[in-house]
Amino acid sequence: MMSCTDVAGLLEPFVDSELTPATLLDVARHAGHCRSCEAQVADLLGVREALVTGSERAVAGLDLSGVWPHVAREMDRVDAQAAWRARSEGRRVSRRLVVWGSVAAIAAGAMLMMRGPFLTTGPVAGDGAPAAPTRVAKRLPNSVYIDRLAGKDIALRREPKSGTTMIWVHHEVQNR
Amino acid sequence: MLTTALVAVLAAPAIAQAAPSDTTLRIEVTAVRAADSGPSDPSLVALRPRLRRLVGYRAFQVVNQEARDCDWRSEAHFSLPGGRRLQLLPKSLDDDVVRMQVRLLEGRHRLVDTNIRVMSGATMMFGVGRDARVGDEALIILLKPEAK
Amino acid sequence: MSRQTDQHAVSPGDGELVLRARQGDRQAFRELVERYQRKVAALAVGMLRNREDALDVVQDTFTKAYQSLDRFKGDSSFYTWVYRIAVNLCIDHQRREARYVPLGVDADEANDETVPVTSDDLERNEPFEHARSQEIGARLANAIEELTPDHRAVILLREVDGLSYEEISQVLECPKGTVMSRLHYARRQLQARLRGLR
Repeated sequence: MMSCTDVAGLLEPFVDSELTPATLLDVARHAGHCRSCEAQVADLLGVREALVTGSERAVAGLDLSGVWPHVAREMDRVDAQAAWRARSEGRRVSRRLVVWGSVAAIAAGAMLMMRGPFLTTGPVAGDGAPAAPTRVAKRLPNSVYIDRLAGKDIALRREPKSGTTMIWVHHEVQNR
Repeated sequence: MLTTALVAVLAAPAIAQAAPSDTTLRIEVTAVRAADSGPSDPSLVALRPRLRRLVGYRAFQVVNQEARDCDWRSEAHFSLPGGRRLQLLPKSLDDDVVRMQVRLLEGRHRLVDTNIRVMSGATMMFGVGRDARVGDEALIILLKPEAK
Repeated sequence: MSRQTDQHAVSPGDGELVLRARQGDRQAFRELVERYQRKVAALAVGMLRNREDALDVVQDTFTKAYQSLDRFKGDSSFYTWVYRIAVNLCIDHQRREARYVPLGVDADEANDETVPVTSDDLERNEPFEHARSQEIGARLANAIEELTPDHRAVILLREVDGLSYEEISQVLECPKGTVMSRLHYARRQLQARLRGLR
């Protein structure tokens, strides 16, 4: 039969059901006959009961009905961002193709010119202005670019996690 | 000759800008009263962490909310509590980014005048108040343009 | 007790739901959220001791889980992975709250925030006040408040969520021995506070 000294370090794993069946049985037998160890077990279970009761009451007062709708909205945003990134990547690839294609064409043209004056001119293709370079910067979902800002006693605040920008006006709010 | 060739090969089609007239712009403006204590509006539960991090208040109540379709290059006005209003001039849409001018007015005073670019569906915020530490209330204005 | 045992014979296991969610099945992810949101909420309320902050963390936990679903390797169970996200979010939240300094405030005034406490606030912000009896609840609340986030996490995962030492070590990414020693310390603190009341 185990002694109090043997059992001392095993009482917590005992209440946590972390012991092997054989050891569990030995500890249980000892605790059944030892008031001191039995009291310690009761103490440990008392703490557990208090925590569980407190937690149950706390969670009972929580309205979790809004969790899924919120998560679903965030999932939409995540999916939309991923689609936007994929689109931007696609455009970047096609622009790269245009640029490299142009470079190849110039090189080919240069080679032809070096061979002789065979290049003929024709009407300028299209009248489009060169494509404005698009910054495919990694944008946070609520990024805002401020091109111009005027006002008195104002400050800019940015929330790093979402990129949300706030223009704060230091001004007393009048009563409604 | 070479110049012509260069122009010919380098000329790339311009980015097709989404013609604003082809897209509807819906703008939602929400006025929120921020305070140090009290209940929070359930509809703001998603924004609450962000608002707390930005302004430090703990309780947020929707005071007024208005959403409507707005014309491009036309002024739109949204009323706000305390005799204030938001004056908007949506200018263009480029790659899902809405360009607009925004003025926050209090009576005849212009509190803010700004030109911004916001992603469609994103929320831009304006705040009017002193600090959360002083314990006063604040007015938060949520501006959300959405191009469809 | 095995958490992988389905409560209903026909309910799919977590593994199957994760696989389906990865393939775009929203309903599968919804089922995972609804399966574990209460458990995550219990953990968050215990860690943060504020219902509204806990609700924020519950929402953020599952949002982050969705964003990282492709990175979930399956070497731990889904719920220990979700708990890990939740614990980290709670710890981040606590660090942020400690650091928040409103704009325009002098640095040495930054910690001087007082929020008027009404009985409504107590109900909302001090959930452990109502455990069994008010006095036990109050002492327990104080004792938990004094634990570090690491000790708080261990005692809550063990006592409230019923995780094994092995599962807790996976959630907190620390050795089992560390889990046991933190648990021992946390229990001693709580026992000392509750002594004489029962």
